Amino acid sequence: MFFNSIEFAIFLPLVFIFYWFVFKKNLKAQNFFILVASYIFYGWWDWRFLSLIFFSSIVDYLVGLKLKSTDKPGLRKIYLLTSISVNLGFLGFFKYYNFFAESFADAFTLFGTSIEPSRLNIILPVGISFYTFQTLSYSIDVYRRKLEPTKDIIAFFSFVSFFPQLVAGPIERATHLLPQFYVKRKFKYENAILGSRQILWGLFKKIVIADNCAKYANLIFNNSAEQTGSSLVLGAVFFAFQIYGDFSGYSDIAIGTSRLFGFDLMKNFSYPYFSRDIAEFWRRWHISLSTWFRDYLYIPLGGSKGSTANKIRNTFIIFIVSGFWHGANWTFIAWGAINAIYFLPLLLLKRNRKNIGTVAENSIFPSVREVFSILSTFTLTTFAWIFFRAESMKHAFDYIAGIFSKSLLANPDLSAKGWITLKLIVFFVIMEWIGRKEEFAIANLRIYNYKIPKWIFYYTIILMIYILGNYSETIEFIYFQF
Amino acid sequence: MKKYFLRILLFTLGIILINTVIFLIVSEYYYKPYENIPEINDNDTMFILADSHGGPLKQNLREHGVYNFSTGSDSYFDIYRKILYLKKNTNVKQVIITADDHTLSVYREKLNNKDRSVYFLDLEDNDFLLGDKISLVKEKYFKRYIPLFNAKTTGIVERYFKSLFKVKKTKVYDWATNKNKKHDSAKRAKKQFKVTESSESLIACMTEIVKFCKENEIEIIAVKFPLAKDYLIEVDGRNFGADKHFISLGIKTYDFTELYVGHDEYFANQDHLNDIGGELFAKELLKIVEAE
Repeated sequence: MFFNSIEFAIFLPLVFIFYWFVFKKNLKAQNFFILVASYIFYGWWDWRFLSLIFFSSIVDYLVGLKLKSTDKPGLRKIYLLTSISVNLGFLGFFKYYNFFAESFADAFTLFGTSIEPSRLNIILPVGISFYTFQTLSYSIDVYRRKLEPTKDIIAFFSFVSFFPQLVAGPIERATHLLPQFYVKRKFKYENAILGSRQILWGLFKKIVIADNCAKYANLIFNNSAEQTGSSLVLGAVFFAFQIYGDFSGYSDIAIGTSRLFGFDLMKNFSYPYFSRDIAEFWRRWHISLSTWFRDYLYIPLGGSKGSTANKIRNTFIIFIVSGFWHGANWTFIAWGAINAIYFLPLLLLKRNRKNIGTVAENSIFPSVREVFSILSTFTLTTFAWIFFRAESMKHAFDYIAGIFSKSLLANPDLSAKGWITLKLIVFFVIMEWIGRKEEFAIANLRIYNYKIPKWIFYYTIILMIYILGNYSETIEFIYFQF
Repeated sequence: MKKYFLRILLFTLGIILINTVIFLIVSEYYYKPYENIPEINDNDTMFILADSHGGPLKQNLREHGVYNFSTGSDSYFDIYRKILYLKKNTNVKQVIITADDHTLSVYREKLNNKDRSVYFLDLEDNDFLLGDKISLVKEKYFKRYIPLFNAKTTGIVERYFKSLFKVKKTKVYDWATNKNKKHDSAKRAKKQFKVTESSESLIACMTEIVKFCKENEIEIIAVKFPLAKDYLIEVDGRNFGADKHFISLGIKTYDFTELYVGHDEYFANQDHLNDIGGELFAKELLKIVEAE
């Protein structure tokens, strides 16, 4: 079920009403209802893959209990490895099998032996990378004794399959989300209003910004050989806003929906395109995944401690693994490696924590220096997105070669609606700038102090979604494929 | 909770108001023109089912029991639904179906009337596109009465509001005096034959139409409509193969594409007849009707 579908528009109010009016008094019943609703939500896409979530959940639930039952380090390690093997095994099979089969075949070709890779016709279960990491965090935290394992199987299953964030995050930590299933949720008016606003803004980001940008990004990337350099630059910019609007839009809807049910999910995006350097960008982009890798991979590897060689190795590992998490293609690995190259100088020069707070915190406009930093970071990020979006490494290199051609200074070949999309991006950036100190751009606007302008604002956003949204084709959330 | 519900209720009322305005506009300017068809009577036994190419024929053959049921942009998906409707509500014996070169193109798979032709379906119908009842209810009622959820209505509302502020210029379609015949023909051909592959779902639907008609003893006659000379040159034999497919299924297929080559005065544009051409072509079709 997509957030931007009729089905979800019916599903959400129904679940909300049952949750607060029928099951309100009994916590266990409420949790069970969340579980059923979550399985319906996921099964709407393909019910066969519910078995994967179920199996993953049962394994980690049992591993948690087993970890508590023994203090023997060797045995505990075996239990943890069981959880890791099962979860990463599923992920590896469904997501990476064909990639490895083809890469091995390619490697043999290099040595003069030609073998035909045995490809499998595998459907990638939606959201597998997300719930796998979420449930893994539980086993690891229980192993590290950071979290008491739960005996409440319903609460645990609900935690793994919680529908707002099941298919595209934020990837929640068990330490943060699971305890919320143990306590009675209270309906809070302010929270519900904030959640509703966040859903509205998320829909705007997805339908108006991301889907319109997708149309032109696809057009330019899919026909990149015929485009001028300037059009290719625009294509990369369109994709930068497509992926941001798409993914952060999804996160906003997920977080907003959770608020309606009295849950608090972690922030996933924090105005990443206003970052003044790449280190800041990575603290603001897909925060739940970045911190997951930081806590469960980077720090155990030694993090930024130790020799320079170790720092370089760890940085490359975390960025490349992060790239590979996105998909089984060399382009994602290249995207990760490029970001590692961007990040390393800042780390080695100890400038990676230079920009921590909100940009231009005490002023309306940024300084010239800040504008320069923001634009430089955006340019570097957008350049890396070319690899992320390209079909293959060759496509990415051809695309870049196309940018640096004589036609870079030519007028970009863009339709009137394409220019409207650019204006929408400008509007979006302005709104984000106005709200940059808040949790999301329209969380707390001054206009909310005045009744009528507030309502006019809400309806304007609704009408913008209706009139300016791109509905010409069904565009799935990009991160569903990861 | 009460306060939140009051706010949501107020918000929903606003949404309902917007939805109602859109519904009224869309019903009047989008659905009604498609649904309000001239009354079909018992004498009507043969039906012309085409897209905009069938339009110029008007109801010129009505006295001969031939009812023109064509609408611009109709695809085989829409034609299938219309045949289901005809079977249940009329004395249909024969149908004349378009077999033009472009009718199996992928663009027709996207640009069609499937959101409107659902009107002709009943809940018990087995539609080609909507496999289950839920989808049918969603398409027939939900999208109709909640147009905020129907993406296609956006453009209609936009055009409606623009028309309020713009004086409508009446376009004159006269191919004979057109000075850009070559350019217009090339543009049209490029649009219709952008890709080379035929639409698999349209082929499947066409096959289903033939199967349904055979089962229900409805005779199909396939027809290719006349085209202007410049357009034929631009198309240069490109064809998605509806005619060949009909022939392979044992359907009589008549090719009139070159009937009026050199008679640009019968055309409104490169691939549509004008009123005079429509009247003349109706007479040609009458010959087939009488022969049948």
